[in-house]
Amino acid sequence: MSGFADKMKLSILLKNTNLPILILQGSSDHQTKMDFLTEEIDVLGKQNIALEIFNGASHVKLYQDDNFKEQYELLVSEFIRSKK
Amino acid sequence: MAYNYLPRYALGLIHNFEPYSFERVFDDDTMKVNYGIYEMRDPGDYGFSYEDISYYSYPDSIQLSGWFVPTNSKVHDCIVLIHGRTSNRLKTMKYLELFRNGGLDTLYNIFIPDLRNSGKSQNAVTSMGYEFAEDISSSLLWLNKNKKQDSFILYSFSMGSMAVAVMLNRDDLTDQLRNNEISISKIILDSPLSNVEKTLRLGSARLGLPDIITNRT
Repeated sequence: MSGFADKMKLSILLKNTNLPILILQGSSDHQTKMDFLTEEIDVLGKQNIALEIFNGASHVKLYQDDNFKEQYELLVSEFIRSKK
Repeated sequence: MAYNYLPRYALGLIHNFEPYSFERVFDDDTMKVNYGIYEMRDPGDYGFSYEDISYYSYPDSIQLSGWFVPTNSKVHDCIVLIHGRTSNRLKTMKYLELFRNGGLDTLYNIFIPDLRNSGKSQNAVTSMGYEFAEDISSSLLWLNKNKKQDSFILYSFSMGSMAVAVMLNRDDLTDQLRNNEISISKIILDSPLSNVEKTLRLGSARLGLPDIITNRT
């Protein structure tokens, strides 16, 4: 697995970008785990990355979950609108 | 003895997954709920006009498909919704509702592709997002050439987010975009695959594969 998978991580791949990045993550995501993500973001330590955690949300279900839909919509809309 | 085959099996998990066609989703009520689309079938059901398009990846000429949703003919800015593994554009089209609710549909055109091995696109290996990255850059090049779009927001999910990160890190792909005066303005990563090795080790453990097997792949 060395040589491929071990380089496929955000701490390496996003190291050289300064684009504004919004990351949305559920704390109960069992497929792409939150602790893997926070470790990658900590290594990056970059100002251009904003992380929003949704407590209790699962994998790619943030917008579908009525508990989070409004918050999600607001975060995404504000992030996109901040460009113009 | 079986261990001789297991590394190949684990490698297969990296490179391949069973494609999720439109028919597979539409024929399965549970999947329609899981995708969050219920009886919706295309952007028209969300009140948007759209074009169903077909194009090819660069450099390996895999046939790709997607919906271009031209919400404002005067803008050259486009949001691209990028699905993940075992998914397709049906799963990402529900975000059209978000754009409408947020009033974003008058500011940006929208593109919803099926990346390779997904939806109506051609079956091919994906390598946990590595080849998806080529499909994303190919999509931007097609939109630039055919729809005059030159600035993009990449909005991605799960393995699609890994693919976006790969694309940003691949000079061959970013040089090509730069040479065509294509820019990326912002990135949204929803539930991103953030570390392939750790995720594979976790997946292998869940399948009962000993770590030594994962090491041999």
